[in-house]
Amino acid sequence: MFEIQMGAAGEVVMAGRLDATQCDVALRFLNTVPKLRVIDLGRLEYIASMGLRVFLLTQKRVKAAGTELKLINACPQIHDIFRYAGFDRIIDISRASA
Amino acid sequence: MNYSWLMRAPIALVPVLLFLLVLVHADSYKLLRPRIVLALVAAGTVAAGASYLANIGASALFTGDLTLYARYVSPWIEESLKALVLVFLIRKRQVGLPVDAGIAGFAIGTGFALVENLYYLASRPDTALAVQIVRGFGTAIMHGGTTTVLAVISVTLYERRPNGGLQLLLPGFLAATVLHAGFNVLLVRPALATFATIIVLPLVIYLVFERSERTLRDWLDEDLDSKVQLLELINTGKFLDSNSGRYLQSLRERFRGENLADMLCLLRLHGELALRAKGILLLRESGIEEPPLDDATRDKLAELAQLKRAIGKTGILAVRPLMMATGKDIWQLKLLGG
Repeated sequence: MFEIQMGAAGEVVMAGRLDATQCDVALRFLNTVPKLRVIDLGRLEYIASMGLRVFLLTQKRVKAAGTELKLINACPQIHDIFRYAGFDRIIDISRASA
Repeated sequence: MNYSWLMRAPIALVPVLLFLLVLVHADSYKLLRPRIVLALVAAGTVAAGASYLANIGASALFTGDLTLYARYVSPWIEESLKALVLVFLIRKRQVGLPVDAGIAGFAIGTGFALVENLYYLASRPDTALAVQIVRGFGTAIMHGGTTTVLAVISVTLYERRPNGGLQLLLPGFLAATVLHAGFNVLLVRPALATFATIIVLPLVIYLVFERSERTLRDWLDEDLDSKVQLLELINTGKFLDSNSGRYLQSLRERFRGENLADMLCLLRLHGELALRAKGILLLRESGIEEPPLDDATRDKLAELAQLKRAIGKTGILAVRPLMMATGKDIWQLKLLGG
């Protein structure tokens, strides 16, 4: 189960499992958000390699528009995946506070 | 100014270059850097020069009809020389997938074909335009294609048996040589030979590329998951209770305690580096410029090499089922070293 929606403060909120079957849904949604800055990963439990690609493509689009993407509240496992893959040097990502 | 030459040269040289450009562009993961592709084209030109000399020597010894020589002897010489660079690339894991091996093979064949066609343009300036068309669209593409076939078959076999010997190169080499000889035999009907080459070869290469990219994508997903799980187990201290951990403990009787500790470090380090390599592939696929290799990763690569030395060949063989089961698993770390 994967959910993506707008949060109260204008951020995008993701929840559930971002696997290969949900990447198109996520990317389509993110492409409709005009001034995308922040994605809240607080309730995202799992991410597949295709899911990482969603964030890379979004960062590319956002950067081309002159801003930077920020991922917040990542659980330790997802934060570690970004770190191991070296994507923490490409996208600003922060852990959920304990 | 010889206008005839100006018209013939592009026909003889451009199709194979265009074909190579399409292949490089079609690779979503940009597995081979442009400078490597150019270096391979250059290597192909050297192979063509060596082939010219070898053919002069061999044809002088050949007592039969030269048409027979061209059909049944020269393909062995030419394919062997084109294969030399490829053997090095495959054995050193510089290429690890059908896509990058295929592009590498076609680049070598391109260099070879460019020199061969330039030689024909210079030495037989009055050759009919139709012959240049056959050389440009037929022979040149064939040279790229046969080396691609050799590369794709060989790398597929090494993927299944990463520690296999040189004999794994034989099926690809035989296939390439038979195709080359078949093309030369078909040249009694040059239009058919050219038509067959420009229809069949792109189709085969397209299918190979599509399948290879799908396999790579699946592997990225599966391996990413398994490496993340492995690292999670190690980081949370639960590794020894897992199947992999139990396997490692079963090695106690054969290896000293410090060797086992090194093996666990090796597993962790290999997992982290494998994830970093996958990150590079994903960055390339997304068209994002990858940042230069950081010091931490460089240190980890050095530590990995040091651990491998400490564990020794027998130890590496024992721990291999846990970290390097396929050719791709070994190849991926080259993405960090390159």
